[in-house]
Amino acid sequence: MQTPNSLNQKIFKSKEYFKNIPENLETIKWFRYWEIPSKNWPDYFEATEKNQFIFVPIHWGYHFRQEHNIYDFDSNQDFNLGYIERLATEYEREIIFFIPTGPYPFDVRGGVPQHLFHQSVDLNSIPRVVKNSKNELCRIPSFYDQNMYKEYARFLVSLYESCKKRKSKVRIKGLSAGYFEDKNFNTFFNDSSKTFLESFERYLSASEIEDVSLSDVYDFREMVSNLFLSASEKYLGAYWDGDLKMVFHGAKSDDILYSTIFKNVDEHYFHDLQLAVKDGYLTSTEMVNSSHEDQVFNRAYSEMMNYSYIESIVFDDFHLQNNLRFTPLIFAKIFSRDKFDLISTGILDYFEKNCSHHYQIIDGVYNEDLEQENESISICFSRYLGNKEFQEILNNFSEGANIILDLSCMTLDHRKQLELFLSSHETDSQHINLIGPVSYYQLGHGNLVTFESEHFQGSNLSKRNHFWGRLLSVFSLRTLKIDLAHGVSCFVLKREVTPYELNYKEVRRVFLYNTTNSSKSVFIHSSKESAFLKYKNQLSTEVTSTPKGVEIEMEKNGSVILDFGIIKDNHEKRTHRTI
Amino acid sequence: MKKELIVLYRKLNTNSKSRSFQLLSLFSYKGRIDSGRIAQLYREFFKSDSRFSEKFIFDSTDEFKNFINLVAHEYRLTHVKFLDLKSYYKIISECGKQEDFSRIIESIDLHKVQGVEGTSLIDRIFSF
Repeated sequence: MQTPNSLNQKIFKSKEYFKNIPENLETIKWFRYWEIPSKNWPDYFEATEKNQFIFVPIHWGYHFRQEHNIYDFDSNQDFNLGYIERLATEYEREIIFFIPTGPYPFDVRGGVPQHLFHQSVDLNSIPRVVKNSKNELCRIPSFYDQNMYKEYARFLVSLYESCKKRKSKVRIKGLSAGYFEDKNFNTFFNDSSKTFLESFERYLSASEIEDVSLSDVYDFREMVSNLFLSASEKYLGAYWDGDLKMVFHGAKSDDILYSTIFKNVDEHYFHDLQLAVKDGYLTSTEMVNSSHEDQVFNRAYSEMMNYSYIESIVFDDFHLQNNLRFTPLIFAKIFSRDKFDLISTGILDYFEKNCSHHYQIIDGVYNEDLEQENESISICFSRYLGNKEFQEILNNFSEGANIILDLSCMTLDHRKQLELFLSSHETDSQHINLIGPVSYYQLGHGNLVTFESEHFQGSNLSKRNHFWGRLLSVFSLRTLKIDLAHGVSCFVLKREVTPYELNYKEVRRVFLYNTTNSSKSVFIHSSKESAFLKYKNQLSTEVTSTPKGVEIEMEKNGSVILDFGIIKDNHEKRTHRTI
Repeated sequence: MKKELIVLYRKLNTNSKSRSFQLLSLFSYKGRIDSGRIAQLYREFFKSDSRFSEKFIFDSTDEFKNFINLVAHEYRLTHVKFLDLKSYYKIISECGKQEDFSRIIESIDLHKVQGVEGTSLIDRIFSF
């Protein structure tokens, strides 16, 4: 029997699928079937393209039949999910069903049944009301109503029965809609409404918590959010295909005020797009007015949220061959469980200033898979290091990983093991004093730098920046030096080389977008480590290659794509590095 | 377009003896003023870090208005539109469409910023 998974794989393994995809194709289409009479659904499918993803958010509230107190997915053509599946098959379209593991921001009532709706407010008490692409005001519901979870479970059970009855072949994903705030992905579970407070009080009483702290609030929010996810997995069985976090441009509480005043998109949409690509999120423009005139954002969006990128996020059990796909350029992964480590060492400041879209913060201790070729630097703190993670660090170092390790708060046992490891392997070492003692060890292709963060107390920003600059200089990051004018948004992605590009280690693609109404200049410096290959898709932009670098003159709303080959590191000539 | 500053704020304390305010969002006619920039201006205004928190709180009407004046001068804005959260709630609850919301927002009174010349020679030559 064909499982939903094998059906999806059949379609996407064909290389034919990727030929002739227009570069500015709107790759995601949202099918809000409750807004369209079913007699018009065939027209909707006909108007789509084969190489578009059709996302079908199942509207929880729409399927609730209040008069009978049941959920109905079949009896009436207008809410018949089976009919949607049949149309998808008939028109050879790939559809993905979603369920609301949190509110749908694009629906006027957040997608929940009417009787469960209570207005949510953000942490500043601003009511969460946003505007969708049809200029409708959408009210985000609180998911903390005491009947919400029970009703959600009922909805899932009915949905499962319906899928089973019609022998559905389409998998269902959870949609966790959110937005970026201070560079973090936030969902609408960050609620401070009366409904939330009442629910929190019940939780405190049931848990017998007397001294309430902020961490109790965070724990409670996370617990409730996970309840909806785990219910989805439990009740949908084989039809459940996991949760998908998605950033909705325009979903912040005060975005509606912005769109009242301005016709073009907010600059932070570009920042959010950069963050999303770096951290592997999909984004949606369902909250952006479809007639808005910001062509440069449209371009950036379609180039970033392209077919292969979406496919890699949506289907994590199928991987496109690497040399067909551009991926985020990540120089460093910072493993941290405590923001204090990031702030007190100045590491966040350094990366924000020097390579703001080329690092990731990973909530955890250390977890790195060396099977995928990966030259990024892992930065870890010993505060929470367990035996398993510690061993993994030593193993990966000996197999060629690049690691920076904070020894402060390391257990005595681990310190002894580390000393033994370093003395028993043929490591080259250097020791200096920057902010406290710093040691650098080389073992084959592996590089390990250790430091002690407790010495950072009292040090100033300038010393910390210098510290990180010295440490990272060991790893030869090979950044492209780009002089970027204010108002020009820049994305840098990388891909592996093709058989025709064997002189290079990788190819980096620079995307530039002038988000302003005035002319801007950008200069990309030449270096011995890179070669300018080509440029394309230039719009209102002039590109001139000179011996010193590439000059780019951009008119209002101009954009261009440039490719650079990163020259291979000759390992035979590689000399001993110094810190 | 007038060089407007739109201020979304809320009153924290309606005690008749003292009133404090929290600044929620700021928009100039050129775009949103992000929280990082507001934090910088906030620090400059109080000339110390001791007042700083993630919430932008002002302990009196004068303190709040003086800060808004500072921002207006910084961005060479001539008029300010104040929108308190309670009114925002009311407006939002009455509107179903963006156009309705925009119409009401546009009708809110503008206050002229003291000390910023809206028609100076500099402004006429260099449009900001």
